[in-house]
Amino acid sequence: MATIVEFKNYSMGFRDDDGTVYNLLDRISFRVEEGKALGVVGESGCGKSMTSLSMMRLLPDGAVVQGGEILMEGKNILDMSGQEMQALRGNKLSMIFQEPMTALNPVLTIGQQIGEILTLHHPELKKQEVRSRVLEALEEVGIAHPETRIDQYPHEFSGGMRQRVMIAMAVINHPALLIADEPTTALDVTIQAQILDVMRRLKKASGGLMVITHNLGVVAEICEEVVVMYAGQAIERGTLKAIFDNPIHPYTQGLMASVPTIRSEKKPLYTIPGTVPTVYDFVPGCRFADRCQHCSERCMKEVPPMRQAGEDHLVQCWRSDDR
Amino acid sequence: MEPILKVEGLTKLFPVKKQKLLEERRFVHAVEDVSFEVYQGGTLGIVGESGSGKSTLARAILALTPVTSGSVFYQGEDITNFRVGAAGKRRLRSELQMVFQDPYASLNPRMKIGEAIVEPMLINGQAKTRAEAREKACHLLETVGLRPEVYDRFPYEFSGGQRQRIGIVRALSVNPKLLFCDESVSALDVSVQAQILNLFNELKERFHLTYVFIGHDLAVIRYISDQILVMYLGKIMEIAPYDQLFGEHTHPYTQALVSAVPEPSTAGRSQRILLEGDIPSPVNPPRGCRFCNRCFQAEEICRQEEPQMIKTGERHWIRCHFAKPAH
Repeated sequence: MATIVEFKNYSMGFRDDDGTVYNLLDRISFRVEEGKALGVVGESGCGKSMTSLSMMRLLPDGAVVQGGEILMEGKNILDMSGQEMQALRGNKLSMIFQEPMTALNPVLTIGQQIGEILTLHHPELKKQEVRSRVLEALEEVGIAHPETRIDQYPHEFSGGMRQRVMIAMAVINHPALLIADEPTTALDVTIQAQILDVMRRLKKASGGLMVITHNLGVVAEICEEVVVMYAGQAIERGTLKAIFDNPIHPYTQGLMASVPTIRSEKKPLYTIPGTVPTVYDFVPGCRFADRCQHCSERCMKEVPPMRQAGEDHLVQCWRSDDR
Repeated sequence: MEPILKVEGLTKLFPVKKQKLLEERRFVHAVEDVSFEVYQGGTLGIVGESGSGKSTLARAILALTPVTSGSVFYQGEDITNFRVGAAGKRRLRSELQMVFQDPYASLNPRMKIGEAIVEPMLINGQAKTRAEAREKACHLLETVGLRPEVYDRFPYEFSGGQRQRIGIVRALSVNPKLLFCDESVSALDVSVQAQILNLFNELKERFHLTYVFIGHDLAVIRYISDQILVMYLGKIMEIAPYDQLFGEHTHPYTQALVSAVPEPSTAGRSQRILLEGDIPSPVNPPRGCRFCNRCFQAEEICRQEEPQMIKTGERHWIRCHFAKPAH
């Protein structure tokens, strides 16, 4: 199985007004494989958005890369020039953003917007060909009456439809990696189900998919592999089955236990005491330490190494084989 | 036993601005013919997607927007549009409170949060002096897990979960009996959501509250509610006890909603029901059943005639031509 993208000990942080750099992403490592979907799971402040923006080299001002590599098909993205990145974005590397309501240009038809992505990377295509490929893409994402819709404007589309348009834009050049950042969060649940269905179908046709979300249900629906992030550290990763059936890291366990499901019993939900630290409060060791019921001295001081906890299951925790 | 809140035939229509002078007047059918009862100490969950009318329903009951027709009864008294005189209105505003959805927009950014909490107390008479109000506010802040020192801080200094707690304190400060929670946990992270849901349950016990919990996350609504109202395009499709919302003997829309909820588990899923198309606009609701355009069981009668609410069990009603009446 070919690896599409690999994060290797990647670290980044933010530079404060006085010049101090505060680390956020701490040596994160994981990979996305061809034909598979990786779920990047975590709550606010865990660094999952920064991870995807790092991949696209679209980090905000003040962000500082502190080490490691991001390899795309073997080449380090961090070494690429602006021009090389431009050639990648929208082409081999594509992203669907969180808010479909505001991600489209309101003054251009969706045909023009999707077409633009195509002509940017394939300037040799003739107008007719572009149009027919756009129509194809609209059909692929399940938009009915594409011949009419292609000339309509974003405001004529509902949230779910706009998200389909975003997906069409993202996959029209058959990217090697598609990143979806909270693709269904802003959508109604029945529309969410439709979008997840579209993504599941497209996954089979494309390269790799990286889904960033806090919604464990969404991850279970479309991902084969999962990496759990907390306060900038990738604390557990493995196959969906390994992580969901046997979560090992106390944070992962806590997260799973605190989500009510359709079948939950009516007793108090498990809650992780305390709150997520900010970049100014990180301890040198495991950043979950002060909220962890198994915390030891060592946890506060030293970041544990990633250790193998089973086939296709890695966890960054000092608690050894006694669980 | 009499219900603490009874809503009868509540309808709220918003007129749509005419494009042309001689055009027929059109309306947004935000809420139409909604009737239900809530008993003291219970939690009614109202679940629905965009355009279902659930938020408008809450606002109409609380007279934050005037009703078009229908009635609202509180403790047996008609309080529709809070037309009960000045003193009565003050009492109602205290006893029926709301915790809003957006913890980032529902607090005045220029007011210290302590001030935001004491203001309603002083207006509504739960505290005679500022000192008394402050003491009560600090006590309530501790109850929800915030330190009293935060009284003098501004909203921007707090996280979403903390702001939501402040919103809850503000609603509790006036000794409410009935609390409407409009999507109160939707904007929160999963682990914070769990903390706030537990808090809601504790506070209900402690302050003898009755809740109306509005949301779109069926798992959350089911967890916190005893009785659930399913709304679609302004109408109630089903009223059911929380544990009877699953299975084939429910409204087709409810089945689709349940099926659409992504479950965080690796267990195999049964065939998912995927609804075609989008939620139609409440400006031109379909004739007949509101759900007929997307219903996988729709037949001709559904397109022609609107179904009534049919009682299918103890405290269970379904608005569907094919619902089996209880015997």
